[in-house]
Amino acid sequence: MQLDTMSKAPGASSNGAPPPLLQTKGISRVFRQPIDLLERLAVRAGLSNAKEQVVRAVSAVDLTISAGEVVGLVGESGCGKSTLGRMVAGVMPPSSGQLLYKGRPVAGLSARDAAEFALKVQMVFQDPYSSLNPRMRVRDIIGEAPLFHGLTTRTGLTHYVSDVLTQVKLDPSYMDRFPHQFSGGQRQRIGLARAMAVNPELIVCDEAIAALDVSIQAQVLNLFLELRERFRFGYLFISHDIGVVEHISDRVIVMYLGRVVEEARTEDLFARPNHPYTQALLKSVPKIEKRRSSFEAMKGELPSPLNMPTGCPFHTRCPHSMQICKSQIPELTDIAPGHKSACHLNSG
Amino acid sequence: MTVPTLSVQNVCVQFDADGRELTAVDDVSFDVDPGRVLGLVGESGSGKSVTALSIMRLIESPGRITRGNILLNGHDILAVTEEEMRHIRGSRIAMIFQDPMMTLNPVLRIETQLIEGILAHRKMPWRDAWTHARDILGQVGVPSPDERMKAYPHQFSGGMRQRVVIAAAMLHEPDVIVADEATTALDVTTQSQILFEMQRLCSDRRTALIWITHDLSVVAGLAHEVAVMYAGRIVEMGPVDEIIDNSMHPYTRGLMESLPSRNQRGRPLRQIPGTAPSLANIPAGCAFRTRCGRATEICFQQPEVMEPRAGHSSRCHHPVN
Repeated sequence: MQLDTMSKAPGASSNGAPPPLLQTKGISRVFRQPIDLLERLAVRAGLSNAKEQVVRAVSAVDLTISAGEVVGLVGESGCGKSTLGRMVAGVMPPSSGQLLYKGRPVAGLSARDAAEFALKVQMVFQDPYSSLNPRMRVRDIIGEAPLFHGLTTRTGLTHYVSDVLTQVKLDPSYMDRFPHQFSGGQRQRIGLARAMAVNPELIVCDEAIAALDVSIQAQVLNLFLELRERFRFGYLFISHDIGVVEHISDRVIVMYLGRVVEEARTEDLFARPNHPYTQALLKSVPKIEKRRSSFEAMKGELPSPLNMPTGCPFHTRCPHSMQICKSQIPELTDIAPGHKSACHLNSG
Repeated sequence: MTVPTLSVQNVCVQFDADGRELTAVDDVSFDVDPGRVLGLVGESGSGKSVTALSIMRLIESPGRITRGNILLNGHDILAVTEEEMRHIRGSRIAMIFQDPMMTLNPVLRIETQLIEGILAHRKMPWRDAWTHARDILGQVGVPSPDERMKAYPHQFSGGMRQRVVIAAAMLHEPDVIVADEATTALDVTTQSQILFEMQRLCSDRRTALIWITHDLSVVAGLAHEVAVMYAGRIVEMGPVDEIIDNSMHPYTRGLMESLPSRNQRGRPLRQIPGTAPSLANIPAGCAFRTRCGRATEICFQQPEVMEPRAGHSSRCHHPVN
């Protein structure tokens, strides 16, 4: 049942420590919208100056996730956090850069190892309505992959699925129901059960509790925490809800316009946010402790990713913007042990 | 004694479903004074949006308001004709929805839509209406309003669209604005900008604001008073500090305690068991009793509204303090 042929595979770093579970090296993703035939002809005839539209959703991101670690990924909509999550989960190929699984590039894996990687990194999606096939019974939604990959047999399937359902605290007798017979919270449990059913090491949760009601969010979040304790898998927890990320993450990564601007252990990030964007973001979060506050407004709007600012992507909204920020992209550098930030203020 | 801007009194809204009467809003009462903000908090299905629609008199068949009064500056708007209501709607009471595209027409320029809104209620030259609309667009924080007046909704970001909708709501300086999850779909940074503008605009113009949301943290920062709804009823209401620091109803308390900031990092959150009942299955008596740790025999009877502290009321047989 264990397909772990790769733990003894080459790729361990020179000092003997095992390589991290998952690593990205300069991973980028570009989306292009090519101009259509008519427009191309018009350009050739000199009647139009239409250009191909290019969105750099993720630019040169280095990310490391160790086994069993919970990494929170925050940022505004359009910052590339979902695209990064999809690349990490292997469901979207990067335009450039490398994804390494236990130190080995995923792109170069043999078919057998690629299948293992595909199982070891799973995903839970935001919308519990569109992420489950409405025509499949829960038994098949959860059991399809384990059956295909030989984790269970046709005769053992009922037992296998009821085991997984019990772990996500759903009644196994619901196995033959369809998704529409469940509430949003229950569906999200089914989504989690589907991810867990193949014994993953990392689950990418893309806004996995965002669509749920407040009282149900707490229940599902608790389930995430409990299962992590029991099965030791890690999460890449993508969320716009900074309070939730603070609660469950070991480490937090902040993205802005496709780049990582800050990365730190959770306590450090919330106690000493370094990047002006992180500071502004944390200030914007409404808190129950802040009563009758006058809300502080971060100036300006998120620039369009079609029309990225030069230099530091945040310089158009940054209160500390300097000359260098307009021309040079700041590197993500260490400012304290385990704390990285990409800001020119740190190099001054 | 001043008259509240809006006084909702014992309002019930019922829906006909296959011959059964389902009660979406049950005996809801609250007042909002000029320049004050009432936060109306609840989960989906709690009746908060139906309450909003009944203030606008926009409940459509098979739903209807079966009981109660809604007084705007002392006059019952449930008693006026539909024609009179059309004048009140948009000029005296305005509403902001979660999705700005529910308000905006995708094929008309912003200027066309705002000016139409002005001229529907007031006679003035087109040029003056344009200037007025442009000014308001600037006041709600749309940069370079002169150029943006010509734009179409799709040329705006989500946050900017919501500002346009707020501008539309502000056109006639209404007495009451009802905002239903108006910032829920926005990023926290944009949300914070919009809450900032709303706070300023409403207090400057003495507009009464009803802010409907599921997010207690937003209400904490914005509202003066808070009403918590559960299964169609207001289960607790009072000044914001009272509700957050001294909540009496086990449901309010449960919501508060489940917030990550009220729990130790990385530990399981305290949670309310179970799920909210559907309209067709609201438990008799106290609707929360099936999820409540304090429920006893008496909870099978509907609890009356109690007000043990001035201005702070709840509907519970076993209040927490």
